[in-house]
Amino acid sequence: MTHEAKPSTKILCAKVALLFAMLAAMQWLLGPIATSWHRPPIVDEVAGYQSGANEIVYLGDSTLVEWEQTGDPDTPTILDGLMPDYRVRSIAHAAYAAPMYDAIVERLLREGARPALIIAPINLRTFAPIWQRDPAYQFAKEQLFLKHDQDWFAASFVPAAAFGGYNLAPADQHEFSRIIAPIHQEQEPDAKFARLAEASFMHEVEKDDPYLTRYASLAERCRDAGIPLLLYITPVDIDAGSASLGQAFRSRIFANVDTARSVLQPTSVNVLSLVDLLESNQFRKQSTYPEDHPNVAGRTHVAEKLAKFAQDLLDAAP
Amino acid sequence: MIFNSIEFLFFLPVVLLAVRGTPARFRWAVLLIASYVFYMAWNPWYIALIIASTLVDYCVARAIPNAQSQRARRAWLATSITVNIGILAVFKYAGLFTQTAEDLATALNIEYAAPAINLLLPVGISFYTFQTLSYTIEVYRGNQQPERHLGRFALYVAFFPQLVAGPIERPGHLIPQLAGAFAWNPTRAREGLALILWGMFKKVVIADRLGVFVDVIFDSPERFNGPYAVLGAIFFAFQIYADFSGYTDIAIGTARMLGVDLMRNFDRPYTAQSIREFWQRWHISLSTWFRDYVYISLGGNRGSLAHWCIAILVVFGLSGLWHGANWTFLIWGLLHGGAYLLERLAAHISGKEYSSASGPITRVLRISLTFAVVCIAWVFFRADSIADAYTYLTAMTRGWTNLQLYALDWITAERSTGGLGIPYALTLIAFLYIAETFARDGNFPSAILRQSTPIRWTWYIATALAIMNLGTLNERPFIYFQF
Repeated sequence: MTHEAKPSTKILCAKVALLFAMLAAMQWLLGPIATSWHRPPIVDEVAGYQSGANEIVYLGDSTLVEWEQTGDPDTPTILDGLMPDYRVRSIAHAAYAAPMYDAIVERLLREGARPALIIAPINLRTFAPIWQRDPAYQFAKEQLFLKHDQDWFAASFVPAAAFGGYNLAPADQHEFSRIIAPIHQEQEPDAKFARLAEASFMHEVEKDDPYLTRYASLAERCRDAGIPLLLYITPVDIDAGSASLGQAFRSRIFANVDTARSVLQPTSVNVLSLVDLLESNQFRKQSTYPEDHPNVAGRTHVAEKLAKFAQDLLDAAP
Repeated sequence: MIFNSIEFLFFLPVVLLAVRGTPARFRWAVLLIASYVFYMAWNPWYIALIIASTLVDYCVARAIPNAQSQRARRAWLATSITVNIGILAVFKYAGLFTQTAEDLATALNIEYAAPAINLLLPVGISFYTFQTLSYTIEVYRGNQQPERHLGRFALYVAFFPQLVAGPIERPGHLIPQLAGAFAWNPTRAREGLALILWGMFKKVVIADRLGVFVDVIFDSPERFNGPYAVLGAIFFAFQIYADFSGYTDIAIGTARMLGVDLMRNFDRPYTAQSIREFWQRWHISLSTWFRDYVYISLGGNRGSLAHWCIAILVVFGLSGLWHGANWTFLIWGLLHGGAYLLERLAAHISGKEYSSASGPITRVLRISLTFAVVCIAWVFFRADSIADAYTYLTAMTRGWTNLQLYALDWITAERSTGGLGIPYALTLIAFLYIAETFARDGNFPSAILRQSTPIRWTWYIATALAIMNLGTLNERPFIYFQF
């Protein structure tokens, strides 16, 4: 079977070592190319981001967005119009939450960005298992790429991922299906509304909730960098939720707000609660669960509140 | 632990060093510990099933030769079969049987709620139970002396390279090797490394890449038209081949580095000119197991034509069910059994072997027809339910005049392959097919090792770089691990 003389163990080991050395050298050159095929767009958006002194970075999720395709502006655009001395730049995705906000800010600061203010929403729905266990909402690869920009990462990412070195799918689809299937199977509209309300908002937020911990990490990161951070709790259609689940809905919402505030208090971050700011008619028309997506009137109201609070923070900044 | 994991890349050198550094008479112990660690890395508790199966069959095999009567010998054999099939029945098939009972009750308007059974399926359970069963059957038949050394017998049951997905070894082939010194041989080590490299390439670069497309189309076949559904079935045929034969290459290569030869499990199955030939080339260790222990026990071809037909269908049906607790596997097996019977009956009537030598065009047509039958059967193998398989087969028949219809999910899948898409997948399939078809005995790594140093080294480096850079991002377990 062999072409050459029978190898000795020493020669075989030497050849294997030489092969590994050659592979390592070539991988150092080729690995970054393979890694670049997998780089998420958010990394290019954030990498090399240079913010001016009058820039506000507005991180966000679906609560910022226009959902009814009316062409109306999203919340950052409205806020931009309300704060003419500043430029509001939005870095948002419908399913971002605390882990992504923290990862984005960490990378922004590492890139040398020093915005005048950072704004991020605290969406109470993101603390529920229906959100946190959703495989589509994990953004594990995005967080990994935001965290690592080193040469060794670029050279090794693809082989390490292919051989299970990174957990890029931390949420299991089957586990999530067990959570979501009973809700989807519900046919009666009111019962379905109640189930979704319960699954989305009735979860008791624990003080050690991983997303709350990431908000605290974000707050400490901004504090250490000397950049003001404005966190605001996003509005919820409490009337609709209470109509379905009774007073327990309102109580749970405010208890969760209190928990979030108490966990974040030691970081001295500014937490603005807008949870009961809006009326039912200021949310988009949707009837499958208590809404937390404001329509343009609601978004304008939110932006006005944010503008006032943000201006106070900016005026107070050294 | 799975082969395509970082843990295994460290585990194997450590085991090789530990075996080399241990006196020859204790090396079995090192390998037994390594095998148990290998299995327990997946689930530490389920090692108890392997140990239970080992102890029962060790005792049964020791008792069989000392039994006073044929009836007692049979009773001992029945004990082994009951325990091993019992483990399989409880951990693998209980859910299927209870669910089927509930479905039947519903159909008959009888109120019956099956108890919920949520047992985790032990990885490799079908492989090691069949391997240990072959030992007791061979001892019962007088073809195998009972192994006196419990440790070596335990290693026969749990030898880590082939523990979780075969090849399903026979005691006469493996046990004598495990009683040896596991001597290090650099030439064999090099052959083993080449096999491991080729197996990893087939798994990581080809099977996992094809799996991206296969998952998308099999998850929602109703959204695809005929050409894509057919392509999906062909992709699955090569995905499962590259996956399973890739695993086998790594297993054989790993064992060879340890000084052990495992049996061949694949021989270019998609060059088969008939279903009969396909089963002489696909999962050889399983098909010969069923031939030796089920088909022959059922009387083989010694009875009437009807008896023989039933025996064939029983063997193929059981072989299908062996793969998984789902009626889709039974249908998969029966489809193969039916095609096999048609071929044999045609040969019987015409007096000519279906796959007897013929011109190249006829050969290509026969290979294509056999492959088409195999692909249709794979649809049942891959589908989650019989209804899903029917939906898929329906999708294969429609939309052939509208080739422009392009399902959104397929485009998404292409993006996830770095934008390389279908041409890239087809290139991988062509490369695999040509490389193995034209290599002597289908052993491509062996053909490479016969080449000059520059060619060999170019192949080593190119293959390793491909494994490192062209894999999919999430480590995907081997398909046959679930069986």
